[in-house]
Order: sequence, then structure tokens, then C-alpha cells
Amino acid sequence: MTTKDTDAILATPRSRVTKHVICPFCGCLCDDIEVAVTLTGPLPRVPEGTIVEALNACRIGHTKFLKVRDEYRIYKPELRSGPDKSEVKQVSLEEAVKAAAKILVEAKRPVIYGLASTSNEANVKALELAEVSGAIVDNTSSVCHGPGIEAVQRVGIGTCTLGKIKNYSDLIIYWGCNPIAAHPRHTRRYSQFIEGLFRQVEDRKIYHVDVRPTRFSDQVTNFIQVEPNKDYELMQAVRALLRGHELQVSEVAGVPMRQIREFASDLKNAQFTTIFFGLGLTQSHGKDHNITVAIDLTADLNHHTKAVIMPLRGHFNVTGSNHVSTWTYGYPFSVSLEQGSPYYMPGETSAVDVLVRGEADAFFAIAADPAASFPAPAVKNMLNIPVIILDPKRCATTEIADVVLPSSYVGIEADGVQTAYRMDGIPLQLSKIVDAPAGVKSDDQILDMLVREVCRLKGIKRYPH
Amino acid sequence: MPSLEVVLLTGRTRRQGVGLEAGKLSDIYHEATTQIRLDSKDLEKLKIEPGDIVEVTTEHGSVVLRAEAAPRASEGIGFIPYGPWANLVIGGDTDSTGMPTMKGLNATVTPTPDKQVLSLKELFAEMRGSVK
Repeated sequence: MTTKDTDAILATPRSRVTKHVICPFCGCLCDDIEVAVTLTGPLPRVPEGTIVEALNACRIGHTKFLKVRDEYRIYKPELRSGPDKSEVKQVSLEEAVKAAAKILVEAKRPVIYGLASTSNEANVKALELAEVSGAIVDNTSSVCHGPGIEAVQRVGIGTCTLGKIKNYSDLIIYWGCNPIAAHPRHTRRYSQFIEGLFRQVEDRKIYHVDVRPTRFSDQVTNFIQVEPNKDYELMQAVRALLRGHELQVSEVAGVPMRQIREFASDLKNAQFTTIFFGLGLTQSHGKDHNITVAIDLTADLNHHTKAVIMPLRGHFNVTGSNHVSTWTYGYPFSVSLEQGSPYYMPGETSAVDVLVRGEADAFFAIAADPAASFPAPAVKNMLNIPVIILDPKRCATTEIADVVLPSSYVGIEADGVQTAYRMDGIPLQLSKIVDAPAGVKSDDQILDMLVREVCRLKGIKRYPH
Repeated sequence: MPSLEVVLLTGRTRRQGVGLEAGKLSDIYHEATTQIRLDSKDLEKLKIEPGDIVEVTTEHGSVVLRAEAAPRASEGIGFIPYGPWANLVIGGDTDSTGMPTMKGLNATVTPTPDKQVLSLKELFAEMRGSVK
């Protein structure tokens, strides 16, 4: 290499940086990511258009950005067959769409599931697909914050935006969750370590209520360790104290009364209390009733001070999937369109229940991996029925699928307007940073092709959008 | 062999989160999701070291995992990160909510040095074998 060559390399910008990128990992939708992408030139082993850095992202978000093109990426649609689905035939997208549409049309009770890690635009198309196919359509909230939504339908909810919490809240409770593991930047952007308009970092008091201590417990003001499955009792005890009743016991749910009294006093005397809750409440004994009583506790607190409550939503657009389903059919998840009109009955029309009862005769996973997240009885029944998956990357479900439809990464590669809802219900437009691999379309484009094919097969005239 | 009754929790860890974005078929994900974290006192009761193989059994099924020491005291609690292995001991009943009970289950942990942690492929093969 001559000096001239070296000068040329140094003079060439190695990468372009896109600022204010929204991270498509969790419901925080952090909007301050700076993504560096390589340009043609001095790095011969790194192809042009490779994401090489995602500044400000948490470890999980960083991994998502940098692992967009790795060995698990799927570039061609596949039809898989054989007893363990190991005979793989790569086909054109049109052929794979035809095979998937045929499965949906021939099924009596198809289930369309997922939708939390894709855009609202893809959700719209998926619901249309469910309608023309006569399917059950469920999103991942049925196995995360679905019970919380059922509680909201029962008692309502007093909530607000994350910005308001950042600017006003002086007492923040994280109940049944570990934000360090699931929402690594939540405390830095919205609660514990962020300076708000009217709150300094040192003004805030942070409580963590959970069944086991974690690294997060070490960094909070107070940690309350509750016995597993007894959050309901603890919240009711706090409510009793707030209403002026004295409990004649030494402890409730494994928590000494002295600590519960101190907690109740802090809740009452704060100026703006926020309760963030996680799956520790929705996935343990009591489920929706735990959230009902948490909302009731928040309502009680509003007799003394300002208080709000908010679920810590996991997948980046699980909130959006609830919104789109609600504004379309009136129900947030587990909607059956088999009768030609929407019908909602969690436990009857939710994906896990339909699979466990052996009623589903086809399953379509969209931007989700039910084979890795559903209980074994549900997965066992998935092994007996045709499975379709739409996802950019190999996962447990691609290994048991009959039809694999690869798509572009929403928020990183997908064309067109792609939007998502943050966990507090704020809609945000996602970015496109790099081009998708050649021939790979976005979720909404592929779902549109599927709707068209199902309409053709069933002779349905498509309603113009 | 001694065995131990624990309250079983499943949940997210940061390593499991990184693993699922690195790839569900990756070694990172397999390593992150095929472990049960137990308190060091509970490991002593079972007479095992971190990294030893145990079988976790609930009323819904059983799974072979690596035992690891929980970083903080949590006697009587077993924690398995979310994933296909944890799901083997979760039941299908949702109490009419759509949500299976994934936390707060009663489980028994038994050392099984002669057994091996399954790969994802082996796990599905075993499931297919048990499908009636």
C-alpha cells in the first residue's frame, strides 16, 4: 500500500451516522440512538451498509441493531417438510405466499398471532387477513400484559405519559418487574436517573417490590420482598392502612407491618406517585385480579395525592397492536373473526387456549416466536398443524414451520411509513437506516400480498383502502 | 439423591434478552435459557456445585437444566429465564385469562448428573415423540 492509498483511506468517511433513531426493541422506544453504517471504501471485509455501532442503545437494543445481518438471517422464503421439517426448499415469495394463503383458506380455525414486534401498518394488514380468512387474531399481550388490559376493562385506569412522570413524579414504585433486565434504559430516561422540569434526581424516592432481590433492588431507596403469589394481599393491606384501618397482624405476605406502614406513609405523603408494574403481577397467581387491585390502590391514593399507574410493556409495539385491534374491532387482543363479526373472550379465543384445546388447525406467527414463548402443551399441538411464520430471523418457530416468509426489520430496514406506540400510548414514526436485503419485503407488504391471495382464493371482493 | 422443593419463577434476564436478539438458535440464547438459578444455600442442600445438572419437575412436566448460583439471596426460589426449556414445566391452563401461570409454581429440583441438557432440536424431537 502506498502513502497515496493510505491518504485516500483516511480521507474517505468510514461511516455515515443517523441520529435520533428509535430503538425497536422494547416498549421504551428510546429515540436517541445514533446508528453508524459503513460506507464503501476502506473496510474491505465489512460490506457497505453494515451497521457497526448503535450509540446510546442498551445491550439488548445494541445487539438487535448489530445482528441484523448474521448467520440466522433468512434471505429466501422456504417451504419445509418431513417429519421434523428438516427438508427445506427455497422458493419465490409469490410461491410461499400462495402456500401460506392455501393453508389459511383450508383451515377451519386458523390462528394469527404475534404482531407486537412489527409496525401498526403491518397490524392493519394482519387484521384484514384475519377478517378475510375467518381467523382468530391474537397479539403477544395475551401472554404478557393481557390480564392487565382485562383489569382496565373492569375498573379503568389513571395513567399519563412518561414525560409527565419524568417531570413531576417524586415517588416511583416498580412492582413485580426488573427494569434492568427487561427495559434497561427505563430508569435513565423516565424515572430514577433523569432530571425532570420539577424534579432533581435526588428528589425522587424509588421503591422496588418483588419476590426476589435483583441488581435493581440494590440501586433503589427501598426494597420490599413479598412472598410469591401474595402481591394481592400486600396491596390490600396497604389500601386498608390508607383508609385508616389498623391491621392486627405482625406481617402480611411475608412483609413486616412496620415496613408496610412506612410504605403506606410514603405513598400518602408523596406529591406525585407512579406505579410501574411488570409480569410479576400478570403471570402469577391472581393475574388480572392483581392488576385490578393495583389500579384500585392507585385510585385510593388519589384521595390523598396525585397517583398514576402504568404497565411496563415488553415488545416495542405491543401497545400498538392493542391500539390497532381496538380501533378496528373494539377489542385489544384475542379477537375471533370466524363468525364474520368480532368476538372477544380471553380464555376462549386466546392463542394459548385455542392451541391447548387442540382446536387450532393452522397457525400463523407474525413477528413472534410462540414455539419459544408458549407453554409445552400449546407447542405440542403446534407440532401437529400447519405453521406459517413471518419473521426476519430464524427462531424456534421457524424450525417447526411449514412456510417461512422472511421480512425486513421494522424500524431498521422496512420501507414506507412505519409507526409504533410507546408503552405510554405515544405513537412514534420509526426509522429506516439501511436497505433490506435484495428481494426481502416488509411485513405490511407481505401481508398485503397474502390478503390479496386469500381474497382471490375465496372469491372475496377486497374493500378498497 | 437429595431433592429440594422450591417456588419456581420464570422471567427475563439481560443475557436472555441479548440472546433472543443475537438469535434463538445461538449458543448465547441456549446458555442463557437452559439454567435454573438457585440460592447458594439451596445448592449446598442439594450437594451440588454451580454448573451441575438438575431435573426440575412441576405438576406439568420436567426439564433438565444447569444449576447456577443466584447472585443474591433467594432461598427457596428457583428462577429459570424465559425460553422453550422453561416452558416444559409450565401448564396450559390460563384461568380463563389467556395467560398461563408462569410464576409462582411449586417445583422439585433433583440432581441428575447422568442426564444432559437438550438442544432445541432434541427438545422438539422429544415433544414430537410424546404427542399422542
